[in-house]
Amino acid sequence: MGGLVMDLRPGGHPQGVRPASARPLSSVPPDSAASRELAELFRSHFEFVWRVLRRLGLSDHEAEDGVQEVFLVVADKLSEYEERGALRAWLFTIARQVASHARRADQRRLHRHQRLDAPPPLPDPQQLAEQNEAVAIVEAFLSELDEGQALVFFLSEVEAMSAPEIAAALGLTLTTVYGRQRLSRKRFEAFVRQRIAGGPR
Amino acid sequence: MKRSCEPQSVLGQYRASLSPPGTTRQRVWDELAQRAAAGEPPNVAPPPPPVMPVVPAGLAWSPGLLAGALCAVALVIAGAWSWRSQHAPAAPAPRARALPVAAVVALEQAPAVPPPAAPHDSARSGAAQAPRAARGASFPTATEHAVAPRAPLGASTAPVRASGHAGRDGAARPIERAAAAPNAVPGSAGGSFAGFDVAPNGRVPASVRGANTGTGEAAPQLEEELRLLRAAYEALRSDRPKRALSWLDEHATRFPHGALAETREVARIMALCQTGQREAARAEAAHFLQRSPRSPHAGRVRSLCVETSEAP
Repeated sequence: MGGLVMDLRPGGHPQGVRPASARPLSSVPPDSAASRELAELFRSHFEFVWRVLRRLGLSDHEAEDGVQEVFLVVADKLSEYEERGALRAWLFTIARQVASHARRADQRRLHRHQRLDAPPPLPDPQQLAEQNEAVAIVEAFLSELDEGQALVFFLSEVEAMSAPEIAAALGLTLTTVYGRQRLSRKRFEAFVRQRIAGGPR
Repeated sequence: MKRSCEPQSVLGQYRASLSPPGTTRQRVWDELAQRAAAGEPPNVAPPPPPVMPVVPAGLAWSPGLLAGALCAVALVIAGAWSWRSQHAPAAPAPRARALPVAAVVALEQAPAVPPPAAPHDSARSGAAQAPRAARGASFPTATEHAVAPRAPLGASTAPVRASGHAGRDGAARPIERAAAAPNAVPGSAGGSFAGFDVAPNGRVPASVRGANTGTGEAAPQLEEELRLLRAAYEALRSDRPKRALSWLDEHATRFPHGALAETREVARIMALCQTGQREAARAEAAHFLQRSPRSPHAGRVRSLCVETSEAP
């Protein structure tokens, strides 16, 4: 990692949040080594971070901001980061923090403003329903799990993360991760078969 | 469930549904590169880097296997004690299949589509995007992605082929991997990114195709159309009509005659109205009604922007 040397940008921070670190923050000039590293990380992990943020409850447009936020943290901390195979776990922990921050900010916004009326739903509900059926099944399944289990299932089965990565990301022991993986796989299989056989509950 | 009745397919579709639509990647990168170049500090405190647990060789698979074996033994014993002992041996079988994991593998094994290289960003609301893109750092171009063979999803989406080995390997040296294999675009990132170029044919990310094996091309295209429109609606809901318009432009470019073209036009009228371009909104509404007077959306179109206009 190239050293990322920067000046702390003057000015307030949205929602009155303190900048993440006390030390001078990095800027990443275009065409610098730091920028190329950031670009590579972004290229490799953009989708992963996006899906994690969406899974953690951010909408598409919130995820756009959220992904940037995640990679701003990465840019800021890259020089200190020591790669030991836990990069995705690290990205996940940042994303989790960003999602939680976004949700708090959203609640504050809701207190300040009335939400606009929701636009009309997409037409052709039948088509939509068909397309969304798989999504509905997975979400119904995930909603039956507690958050910890749901995250293990998501990272393991949707993101194909290894058990050690998941353990690192969630701060769990390997045994716990293995146990949850095994259980949730079995349950998911049964759940899907049941839904297919019996239709939505 | 009419089409995707396997757990792996269900998971594949779920994964696709979470993936970013269209040219999001480029837009997000452009903004990010600018913010990073400006030295904008993140709004959140960085969490400490996670610590990878030490995995002794062999431990990665043994708990599952051991548990499976114990389970099998227990069931066999139980079966022996049961007067229905002939049914017992069937019970442990599903353990070994781990179907959900196979899902992701199936996605990754979908054949690559080498889409034609095309300028991806200019096709969209290019004027606004292009200068920003030019200022960004060396982000891979659409062409780079377009010629990408679908690598087995290096770091970010490596399937757990053997209970996690691939994932661990994939994450081991992400930067080197990325540098060595610039086309290792995760999941439908590359697909959707590149898919933008080929979308007029109805071609969509490999992951989506994989998830819909046997359903033809129409369903994945519709899925992508839906995703774009959902994004546009979300932007409208959060009072970002310009962003909504950019999603809609993207839809118009990729799916000019898509199944949801009329829906797009209605959303566009709403977005124009929300940006305050009422004349333009009214003109589009009139055009819509002239062209499709019997459309199921006609009633709604007539009601759009009414309170702010002297509509007929």
